[in-house]
This record gives sequence, structure tokens and C-alpha cells, in this order.
Amino acid sequence: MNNLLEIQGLSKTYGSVAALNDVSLSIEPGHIIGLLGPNGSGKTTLIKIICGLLQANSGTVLVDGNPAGTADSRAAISYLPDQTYLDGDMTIEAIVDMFKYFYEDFDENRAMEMISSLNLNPKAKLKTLSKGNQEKVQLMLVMSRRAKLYILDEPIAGVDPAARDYILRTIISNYEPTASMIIATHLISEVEPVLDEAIFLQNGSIKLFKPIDDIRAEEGMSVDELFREVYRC
Amino acid sequence: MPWNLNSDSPIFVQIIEHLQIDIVSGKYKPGDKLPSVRDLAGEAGVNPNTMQKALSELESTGLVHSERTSGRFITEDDNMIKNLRKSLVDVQIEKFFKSMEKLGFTGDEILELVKEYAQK
Amino acid sequence: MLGKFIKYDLKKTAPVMALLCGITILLGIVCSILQHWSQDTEYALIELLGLMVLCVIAPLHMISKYYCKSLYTNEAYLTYTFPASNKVIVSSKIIVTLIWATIFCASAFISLVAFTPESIMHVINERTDPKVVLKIIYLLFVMFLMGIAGVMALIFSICIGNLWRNHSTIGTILCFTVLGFTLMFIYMKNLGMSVAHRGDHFWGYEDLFWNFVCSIVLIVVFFVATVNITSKKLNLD
Repeated sequence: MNNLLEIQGLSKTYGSVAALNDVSLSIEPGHIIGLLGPNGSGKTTLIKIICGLLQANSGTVLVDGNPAGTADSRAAISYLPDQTYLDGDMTIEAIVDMFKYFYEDFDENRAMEMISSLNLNPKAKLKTLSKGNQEKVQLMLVMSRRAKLYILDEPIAGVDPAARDYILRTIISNYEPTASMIIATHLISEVEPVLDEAIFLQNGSIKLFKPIDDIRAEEGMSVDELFREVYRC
Repeated sequence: MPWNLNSDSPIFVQIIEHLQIDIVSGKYKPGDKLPSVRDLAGEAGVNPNTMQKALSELESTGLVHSERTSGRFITEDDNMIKNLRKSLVDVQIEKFFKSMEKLGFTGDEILELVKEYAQK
Repeated sequence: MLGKFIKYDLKKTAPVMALLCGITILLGIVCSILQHWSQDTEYALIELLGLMVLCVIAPLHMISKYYCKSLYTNEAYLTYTFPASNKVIVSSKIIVTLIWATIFCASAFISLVAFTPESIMHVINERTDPKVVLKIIYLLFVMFLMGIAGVMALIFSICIGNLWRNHSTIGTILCFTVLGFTLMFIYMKNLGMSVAHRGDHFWGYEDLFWNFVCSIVLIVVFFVATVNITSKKLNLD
């Protein structure tokens, strides 16, 4: 089976600082993977390069066989950035229509289902919603796409616990054996049960890439606890 | 609400224990149909692959069996369930005795205390 | 995909831009009517001033609220994750900007014609030599192209300015100022050269020929350069 994500020898430097250092990574379909690491470890840099929003200095990134930044690779990715990126003046309805227009794999029914289960008014303008609801809308859009690779950058940070449950349940119910998900987060203990594998990133290099239960069995502690130990200040 | 999982043991092991308790306590009766892997995973708040692994484990012990098109069902074997109940209870009793012994009680003292408590 | 982008963006920008163009044309009609009634010359001033103001508002709106907003703010996270290559994305934004620039120029022209309908009547009634009419159309067209080249120079300046993350505004202004003066210089030089060449004062097609060529070359160069540089140097923070 073709790997969904194939990264070889990826490096990115900002001046003299190496944000990513010869990173290599393969991800198959049907996995939910946590991208874990402290601030400045290179998580966001890696994600942006995969999405084609940043140019690497060297190395190759193939998304479903297509180089990062090309139309086909972007079509295969559903990306949730760490910040608001939608036009606040648009209504939820208008944004759903926009996604439907540009993305062939957008499932409008699923989107409307999620909107009604969140008790949101489709005719409401984004800027009139609370921050929590805005984030849920952005998540809803990303999850309504039948993409191959979902990349979520801090999907539950800054959100109340009830909303976190909802988001994690949505991630689980969205699981497809033909797709994979990368979740970058620092809230490891909440997300850990949902993950298949964890990637530890430190100073631009991958320190660890193992299944969650293997880590628990071998290290005798949860991934959250291992993380605290590895990255102890 | 997601299941209460601790950070000690592998998640799929804890899922198996949770499901065993559900079966023994009667939440799932013999012959009952289990929810789909995805629904169970969502309920538990865990990865569907991990849930699948746990269910396969339960299948191999015979506690659960799958009908090709209709899904997974709890066994109708009452004996198996009774035996499972016994072994789970044994584990709890052993745990209890170990912690009581840590507090310094002997076997006989423990039996007395238990009788007193049960009569309250 | 390119067509899809252009169609969608035109629809989205239509409400404000169509309104601006409408106001432009209306200005000409209203001033013309008022001029007829009062015989004052101030309406000519109002028309001209109004047009000047609109000529600043319209491009400013397009560039800041559409072009820059979708490519250089948080919205870029949305723009650049649509299923298309960087080149297609940037090209579509430039093309939509140019389409509205053209429509706006046309509106300004209609506005002026509406303000002085007598000039058109005069041309038709006097059965003016069609060659003169053609020359006027050619002159207007070259002026239009020079305006478009100016817009492209601004777009190119924005692209260059944004190569320096923290000083993008200064970079843009600097670049545009340099380009602005350079363009003026080139245009004047071309005019001067052809007049000097000819020697007399009756102007012909040759006068504007080099400006015509330069404008087209500049438009193409700025377009290609902007698309390529923005694509290769994409770096969202």
C-alpha cells in the first residue's frame, strides 16, 4: 500500500538555526498519530512544509505520492491551523458553500449534521460566535472533508473540557482505515488514548516514533509521563 | 463520558478489563450485540484500532464472537461468564488482602473485620 | 481550478466593486445634468475631483481588502491550502484585480463621456476623420495599459516588500517609489525620443508606440516575476 506520507531527509534552517534536521518519516493509512514536542521543537514547521506553506531547504515530502505544495497533495490534506484563518464576515452557510465549491471531497451532509448537533445557526456570521464555537466550526469544516491526511494543529487547546470530549469523539468517529490523522498537541494526557502512535520531536529531530501501548509496556509509564521525563526542564 | 483509563498499563489491556466487568456485571447480557468498533471507541474515548485489538483478544478467549455480517455478540456460555466473574473477584480479593497485609493485619484479623463490616 | 478561483473571487468582490464603478458612472451623469442646468464650471471640478478620489479608493480597496488580505494575512492559511498550486493561486488573485481595474477604467471613461456628451456628438456630427478617432482610441488604450502597468508595479512591489518579514510595508513603499519613478522616466524618455526623432509637432502612432510596447512588457514581466517569486518564497508565519 502506498504510504500516505513519505518524508526523506527533510531540513529547514532559519538563518543559523536548524528548525528541522534531516527528518525522515513514513505514515501508512489508518493511523492516528500524535506529533508531540515542546515549543520550538519543529512541529509547526514540519506541518507547514507538509501542507506546502513553507519551503524546505533540502529533502523530499510526498503526500499520497505527490510532492508537497502541489494541487494533488493539497487536495489530499485537510488541515486545521492553530489560529483563526476564516473571514469573520462570512456566515457559516457561506463558508460551507465555499468548501463545497473548492473541494471535491467535501461532505455537505456531514457538515450540516455537525452544525445542528452543535446548535449553531447556519446564518450566523463567524465573528458573532464565541471563540469556542469558532474553533468548533473550523474543526467541523476540516472533519467534513473525506481527505486522506488530516493534520490538526492543537485542536483542543484553549477549549473547555466538554468541548474537548466532543472534539475527541468527533476525531474518533471520523476515523477511516484509508486515511490517517496527525495531531500536534501539548495536551498529551487527553489525547493519548486516541492515538495509535506517538512521535517525539526535539530540536528538529525525531527522538521517538512508537505505538502508545508499546511505550506503556516498555517504559512502564504513560506517554504523558514519558514526555515530562524526556523534556524535563 | 470517556472511560476512566489510568496511565499505568497499556490501554488495550484496560479496555479488555473494562469490557469484562461490563459483561460480568450484566451491562452486556449473554447473547447481547455489542456496538460497532467505532461506536465503542467513541464511547470509551479511545483509538478504534486499539478497541479492535481488545475485541479481537476477547474473541480469542471466546467471551465474544463475531457473526460475519451482523457484528459482535457476547457469548451465551453462562459457565464462561461465571468463571470470568470468579477470576475477577479473585484478583480483587488478592489485591484487598495484599493492601490489608501492608497495614499489618493477619489473615484471621482480616476475616473478623470483613464479617463486622458486612453485618453493618 | 484557475477558472474556479476567478469566478468565485469575482462574485465575492462584485458587491463593493460594482458599487464603486456604478458611483463613478453616476458621478459623470449627475455632474453632466447639473452642469446643463447651472452653466457653472465648478461641476467640471467636482467631476474631476470625484474621479480622482474614486481612482484612489477603488484600487486601494481591491489591493488591501482583496489581494493583500487573502495572500498576506491569516487568511493565507485558507487561500494556500485550496487544492491548487501556488502559481495558480497567485495568478488568479492578480487576474481578478486586473479585471476590476479594467472595468473601473471603463467606468471612469464612461463617466467622462457622460459628463461631456457634446464631444461625442461633435465627433459623430462633424463626421470626423476616422483616423483621428482611431488615434484617440489608441491614445486612451495606451494610457489604460500604462495604468495597468502601474497596478502591476504595485503588486510586484508588495511581493518584493514581503520578502522581508518584519519590514514588509517599508519594503513595499520603497520598491514602489523606485518603480514609480523608473516607469515615469521610461515613459517620458519614450515620448521625448520619438518627438525628437520626428522633429515636428504633429503626433502620430509612433509617439506612443514605445510606451505601448514597454507597458505590455512591464505587465508581463511583473506578472511572471510576482507569480514565480511568491510561489517559490512562500513562507507563512
